[in-house]
Amino acid sequence: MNTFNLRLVKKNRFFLLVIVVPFIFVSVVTAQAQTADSDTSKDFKFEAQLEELLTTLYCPCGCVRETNKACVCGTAQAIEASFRDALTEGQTVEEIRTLYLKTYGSEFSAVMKAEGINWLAYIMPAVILIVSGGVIFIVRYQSRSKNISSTQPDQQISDKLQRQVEAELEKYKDRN
Amino acid sequence: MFMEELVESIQGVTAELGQAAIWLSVLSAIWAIGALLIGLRQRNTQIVRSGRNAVIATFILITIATGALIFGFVTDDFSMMYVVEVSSAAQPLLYKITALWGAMSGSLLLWLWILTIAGAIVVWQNKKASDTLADYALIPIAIVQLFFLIVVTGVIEGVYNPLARFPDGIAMPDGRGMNELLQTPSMAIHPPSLYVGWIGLTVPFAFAVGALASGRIGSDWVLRSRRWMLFSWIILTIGITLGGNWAYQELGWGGYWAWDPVENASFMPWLLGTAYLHSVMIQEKRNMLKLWNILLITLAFQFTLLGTFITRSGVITSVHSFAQSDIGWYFLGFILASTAGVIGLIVHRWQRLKSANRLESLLSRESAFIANNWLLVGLTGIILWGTLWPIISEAIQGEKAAVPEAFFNKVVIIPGLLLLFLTGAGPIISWKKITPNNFRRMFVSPLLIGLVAAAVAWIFLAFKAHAANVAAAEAANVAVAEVATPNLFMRAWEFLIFKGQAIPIYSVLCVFASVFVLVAIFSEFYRGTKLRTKRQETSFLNGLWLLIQRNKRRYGGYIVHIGIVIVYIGIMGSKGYFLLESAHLKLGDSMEVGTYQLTMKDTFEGEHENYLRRGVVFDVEKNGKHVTTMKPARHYYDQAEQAEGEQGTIESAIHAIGLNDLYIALGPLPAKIDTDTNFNVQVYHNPLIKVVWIGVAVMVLGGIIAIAQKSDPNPRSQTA
Repeated sequence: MNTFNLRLVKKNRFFLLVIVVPFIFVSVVTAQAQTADSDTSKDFKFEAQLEELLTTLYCPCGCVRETNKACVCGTAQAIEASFRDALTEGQTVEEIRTLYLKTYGSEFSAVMKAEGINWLAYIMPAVILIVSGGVIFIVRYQSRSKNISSTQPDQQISDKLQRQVEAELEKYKDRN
Repeated sequence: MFMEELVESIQGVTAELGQAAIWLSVLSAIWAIGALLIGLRQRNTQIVRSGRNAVIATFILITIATGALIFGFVTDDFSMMYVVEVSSAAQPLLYKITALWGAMSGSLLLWLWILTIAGAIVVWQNKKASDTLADYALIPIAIVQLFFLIVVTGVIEGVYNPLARFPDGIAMPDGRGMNELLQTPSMAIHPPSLYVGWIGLTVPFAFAVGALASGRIGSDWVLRSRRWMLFSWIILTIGITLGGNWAYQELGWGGYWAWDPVENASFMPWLLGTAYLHSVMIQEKRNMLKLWNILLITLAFQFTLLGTFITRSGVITSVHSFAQSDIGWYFLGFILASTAGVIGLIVHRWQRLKSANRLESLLSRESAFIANNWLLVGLTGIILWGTLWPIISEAIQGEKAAVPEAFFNKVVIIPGLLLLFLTGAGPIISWKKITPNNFRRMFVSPLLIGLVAAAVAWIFLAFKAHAANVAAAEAANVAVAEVATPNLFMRAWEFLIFKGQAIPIYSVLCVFASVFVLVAIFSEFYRGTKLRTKRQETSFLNGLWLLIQRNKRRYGGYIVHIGIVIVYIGIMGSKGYFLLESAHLKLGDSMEVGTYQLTMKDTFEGEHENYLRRGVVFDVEKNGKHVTTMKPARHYYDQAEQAEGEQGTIESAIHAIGLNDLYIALGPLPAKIDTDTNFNVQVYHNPLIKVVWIGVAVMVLGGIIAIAQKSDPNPRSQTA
């Protein structure tokens, strides 16, 4: 930290407040976020697989976009039981998942893996950011008047003068 | 008796009166457009004045029509089709009135009514204006009114006139009642606030079109529509949040935002409006971005209509799509036609839209604002892309893909965090070009403190994650080494990148950016207040008050930025670290969620005005100490068919614990409950969810402060 700020800290208790309050605030709220760490399940692998199935497939009951984990309807309850049975029988997560999507349709998948045509979905946001940046640049560039003279009021101040003005302003603020 | 006869006799004419008012307002809207066009062209003030009067007349006529429909609801006039569709005799009075926007026809009438109010206010605000800009702006307003009027008259297939009666004088004994999910207090406010926000965007758009048509391309139209823009931004912020709150309370999935198409439809105009609020400052201060601002407000307005297309056309499935018809395609047609009109005007005024100044440095406030615009517009594009992906994927592969919440979370998080950083960088970077002195003075402290906070958060979260992993391993009888490394440094590093779980690194970045912004903005407040305190020789608090009073727009904006930081922190906690446990419990059974133990103690049942409330009682404890009693329930409404299997609506029980919520949703209940009944329950622990609502309140407060300022105290570029 530069000397200016150190001096400011020494001189002003309010500045300390400015530093400390947000810091404490974020620390407290982050701590709050962590107060309810979960314990866990009895059968680590089995429950993890069941959890994966429940959280990655939408419930077909009609509650749009609710996973079988989040949906409280009776259908989700029955589906969870069927997943348990299938896992107990030795079916893999992928096999159960494939069968589920074959039965209800691919729109009941709550995950969108970056494969096949989905690559396009994932790549496009980056393209959109690049293109929107380009559009803004072009609009700005194209719409800039060609006859901007160096005597435009906003450009009359040279960089040197600008620095001098800012330095004077600093001095003034320090004095106050 | 006399009252009943009076009501009956009024009922006999209200629908007809309302319909007549709608048809007459079609004529008045056409008159307004024609008179304003001809009057402005011929510079004939008499004709222009008659155009303005026609705008007022449209407002009066649509107010009569809306009043007639509300009268129909309140007096249970079941000869009216729309009243039967969305109301019932047993419906409480509040929901009889809110039934106005309970389905499509009434929603469109409400939209139209608010639009006519906006038109009348524009006339009233500018009655003493010395120029014709507002008159030019009234033309697009009247055109939009005419479009909605045509839709509301019922001539378009798929929508009927909300005041239409059943044929042959038929009257139903009772109505079907409004969708049960909509019978909540937040739903009473959420849709109208969204409409007001969207329609508020129509006015700045109309002024932009008016500026193009009249040739007054300077900052005048921006200044004249500034408060409209801020007003609609505030109302949209409230409306979107109320929608999230409604979803949280009513849908039973423990969340408030799922990137549903309708949520996205309301959020996209908000993002564009936010971008516009920033970019107009560059036009005001530096006389730049004239074309961009017109494009931006046009886009924001068109996205309000696009939202209607998305939700009403049925092309996208949404949890909120309560009404669908072909009407969406008419909206699409109107969007395309009006966009073509604006593009034509832009081409016509092309030379005058060029900027007088140029960007001097990439490290300047102008650049920060442009970067802010880039990210906000980019985010809008990304959200639109995700919203439309089901249609796109169907067109490509013949099968509609679902776009899960996780997709949106993944693709918006990086631009979202960059935007958060700019929330702090924008206000403290200097105009034109950053100087080393400006950087040292304004940036060093916020950056350093932000980095320290991020490091603390990183270590703290890493330790907590490690503790959770160890507990999980012990519970599953798995070696600790399988889930966690004993090396502290590696543990912290793994925490950040562990198996592609990106939440921790984003949390750390969020903490960094949040602290950076808070320090930057509080420092701004502190410096300004200190200066004012010295000058006025007054107390610090009074100095702060004077500072805000002096430039409400600037400091109101800073308060909005603080609110945004708080919202981000809330989202980080509630989306990143929530816990969900589901269980099938019998009476007397217990379950655990985090550090809380819940025991199902009892059931209850109670008759209400138009529904039956049934639920269970949970006793909540922490470390053996009673915390609270919670009563999740389901409502079974009278108008719903009470057939076997009727599920009722979810009425979650929510208990606030500090800034966190404990949230219980109850599954469907069988007709008969006994000791063997299995109850399906889901319990969420939502950390920091209260912070989201607090953050929005702070944003709204900042917006209200900013709107209180009549004009910029330091305008630099008032005209072209």
